[in-house]
Parts: sequence; structure tokens; C-alpha cells
Amino acid sequence: MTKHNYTTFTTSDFLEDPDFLRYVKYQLPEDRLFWENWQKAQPQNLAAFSDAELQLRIMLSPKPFKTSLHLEENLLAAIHQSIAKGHRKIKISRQKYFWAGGLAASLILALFIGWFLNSTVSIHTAFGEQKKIALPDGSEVILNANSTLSYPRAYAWKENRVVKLEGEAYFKVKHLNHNAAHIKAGELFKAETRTIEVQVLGTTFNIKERRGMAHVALVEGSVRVRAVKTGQHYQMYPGNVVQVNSRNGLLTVEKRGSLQQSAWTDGRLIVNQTTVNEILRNFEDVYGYQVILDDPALGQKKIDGSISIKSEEGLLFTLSHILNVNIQKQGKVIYLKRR
Amino acid sequence: MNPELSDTALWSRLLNGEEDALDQIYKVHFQSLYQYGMRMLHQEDEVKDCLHNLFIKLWENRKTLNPTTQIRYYLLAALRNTIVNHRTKESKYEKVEASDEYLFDLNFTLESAYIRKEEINQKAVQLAAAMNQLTPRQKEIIYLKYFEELDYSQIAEIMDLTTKGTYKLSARALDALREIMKVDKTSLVLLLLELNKLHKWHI
Repeated sequence: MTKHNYTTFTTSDFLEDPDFLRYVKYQLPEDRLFWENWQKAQPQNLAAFSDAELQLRIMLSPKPFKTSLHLEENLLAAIHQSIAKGHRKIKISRQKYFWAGGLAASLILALFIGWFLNSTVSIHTAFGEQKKIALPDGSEVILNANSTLSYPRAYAWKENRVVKLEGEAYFKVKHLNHNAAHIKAGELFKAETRTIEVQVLGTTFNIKERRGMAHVALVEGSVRVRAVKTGQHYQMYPGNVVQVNSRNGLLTVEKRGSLQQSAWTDGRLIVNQTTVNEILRNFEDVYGYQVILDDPALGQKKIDGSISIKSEEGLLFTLSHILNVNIQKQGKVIYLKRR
Repeated sequence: MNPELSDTALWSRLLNGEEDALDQIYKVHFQSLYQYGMRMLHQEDEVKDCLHNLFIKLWENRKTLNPTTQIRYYLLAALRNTIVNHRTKESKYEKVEASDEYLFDLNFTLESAYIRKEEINQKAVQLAAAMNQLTPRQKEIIYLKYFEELDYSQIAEIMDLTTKGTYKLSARALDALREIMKVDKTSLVLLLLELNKLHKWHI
């Protein structure tokens, strides 16, 4: 070690001195011994020394980057490979990236188109909730509580008006057909449930499929209902209600009663010789409760009239008066007890 | 063995086309090059590409290379050129401004093995803060001087510094420091001294 007369050093001089740098940077025992002794002698420029030491320590504080695992070996192997092949990385890498960029872009586009063509829009209502849905073709759907409506994302683009339904919905289908003798693909509207297919041109109707029974009620226009299981079909006229049993696919027709079926869209329940059990099942489906009657005989009682179903409280209140029962709510279970 | 002697010998073995000399050079200097590359590019993938290019070029051009006594210095300078070229190319593709003011990642911190807990005081905090405000080029000078222990003429050579450019650099740095260090005049004076010292050599 060449020793300067360090007692005349300024902070800057220390920072330029390789021996001083080595001492701070590497903390070798012999350097430490030297500088500790030098400080013990209380030189006049001790403050300059301390300043330089602190500054240098901060200058050396940035931490090294960690290489990822095996980077060093892998890179060397890649270099040897390139040398063996006799070409430069720079060209390959540019072309590769250019290529990869185009490839990635078309892949994303293809994925997007695939997704667009094959994915569906799905709308769900919770218990007690209703939603009004405007379809891309201008048709309208009112989705009753606890139901799901889905249709292809490319609905408008595909010219294929197909929707799928679980639960209950009221459809106002926009009429697109101009020439009844010549019906184009995009002019037909199809509503499908697990049990039935309803094919229309432009009408208003209600579909309800719950508890193993599908009901189609036609308000206006004309629809064709087909049972998926049996292929049985029926051309409906306004006022008709068609029922199809999900289990055996059997189709039955009632000439009247469609207004009752769709009255829920006005917040009413129209009943005509309807059993209490039927009303309660409907209540359960729409509001998500389990209703238990303490007297099963009550369930067979038949009711006529119009009941407001706008709120669960209102409906329960009306029922409790008609049936002369007390209502007890316990979480998701409602007990109706004879007074 | 004297490192300069061994560097000269190793280098001439590379110039003679001995591929294991390339390996040896790579292994000795990988860390140094990787750290410098990361500070400039921040992305391992890009550093990897640049190092790849650097060593391929080194091998391909071995017949036209000059003898060197300091391989590390030679490689650092070559890597910096490779990175500058890489950035120019990138900027063609990505419309990145190919300027000097790329971030040089050198983050001064008091949480370091070099700093003892009892040394952390107001002054240390201010010093670290002021140093973190230095321009990328000033940080690069500090890095090459204290981490790579290059001398000023080598640093000037590597960074292609011109007197005019350096004037601008220091003026900006001094303004910034005045702003930061308003409170502590003694520290400012100390720091300015250091900065002047750092820039003295090419004026």
C-alpha cells in the first residue's frame, strides 16, 4: 500500500483515492487496521474523512440485480449454438419478434372472433327481482324473478334469433317478416327451454318452465310450440295456453287462460279455481322461500280473483287474510298457521 | 498473476480463434456485464439479447479486434454500444425517444450492508435523497467509477462525453441539488465539491 499524507486530504481527495475506496468497499482486515489506527491519531481532517466515508457508503449502497436461475449457463449455451449455426442473434430476434407480434395479433383476433361467435350473454334475476331486457333486434323480454335468459353474443350479426330460458319470461318479439309466403332465416324467432321450443315471427307470449312443467301462453299473434322430447307440436292462437310435461314430453292445450299466465308483468296474480298450493309454489319460485302449511287441507282450497304480487309482504298479507292464517318467518322458511 | 498480463494472454487466445477463451472471458465478466446491462435496460430479456449479440460479435470479429490489456473495460464499452444500438432499433419499432435521458437504475438507499444503523441520521438521509436526484448520466458516472472502478478517461471514453454536453449536465444537476438541499448548506457544499470533482476531468 502506498501511503499518502492523508492528514491533508479533503473529502474529495478521499473519494478519489483507490486505497480509501478499497477500504470502504471491501473492508479487508489490513485496511481496517490501517484506517482505524489513522483515526485514533485524531487527525485534523477527521470530519472530512467521516464525510467521505458516509458518502462513499451511500454511493455503494445500490444492490446488485439477481440473475434468474441458470441464466448464465443457458445464455452461454445459446451463444455457442448461434456460433455453431453461424448467424447472428440480432436478425433472428428481430424477425422472431416481428413474426411473433403478427402471430400474437392474429391469434388474439381469432380468439376474439371465436369468443364473439360462440359465447353467450346470460342475464339472471335473483329472487324477488325482475329485469326488462332489450334484445339487439328490438324485441323485448321481461324476465321474472329467479330466471335466466341467454342468447348468443353475435345475436344480431348471425341473423339467428334464438334465446334460451330457464324460469319465466314475457316476450314481445319484433316482427321482421314482410312476406308471409317467403320467410327468411333471420325473421324467425326461437325461444327454447329444456322442454319446449317456441317458434314465432312476431308476437307477445309468456313462457314459464318450473317444477317439471312448461307453460306457453299466447297473448297475441301466432306461435308454434314443439315439445323437445316427443316432437309433438301445436300451432297456438291468442288466449291459448299450452302445457308440456318435462318428464314425458306430453303436450296439452287449454283454449283460454293466457292473460292469467302473463298477469305477473303487471304485478298481479290472477287466479281462477287455483289451489292454494299452486299459488304458494309460485310464491316460492319468485321469492325464494319455502312455505309450510300447518294444515295440509288448506293447500287444496281453491281461490278466484286477482292478488297483488308486487311485494312479498303484500302477497303474504293478502294470503293470510284469505286463508285466515298467522305468518311466521324464520330465515328462508315461512310457516302459515291456522288462527 | 497480474490481471493485465492474464488479460493480454486471454485476449490473444481469443484473437487466435480459441473458443474456450471466449468461454473464460464470458464466465469472468458475466456478472459485471449483466449488472451494468440491467442498470441501463432494466429488463432481463433485453439484457440477455444484448449480451448474446455482444459475444457473437466478439467471436465473429475476433480477427479485426485490437489487442487489449483490460478486457472488462473493453467489454463494458462494447456492451454500452450494443445497448445504444438496441435502443435505436427499439425506438424505430416502438417510437421511443432515443435520448440520453434513459433511466440509469442506481437507487441509493440507507438499507445497505454498507450503512451501519447508528450512521443513519438526518445528514445521511439527505445525502441519499440528493444522490437519488442525480441525472441518469451522473449516476452512470458514479457507477462506473465506484462499482467498476474505471478511471475518468475510461469513463469519458465509454460514455462518449463531450465538454459541451457535460456543462449542460452539471448545470441541471446543480439546480436540482440547490432545490433539494435548501436546508442543509454544509451538505450542499460538500456535494457540489464532489460533483465538480466528478466533472473536472473533461472540462
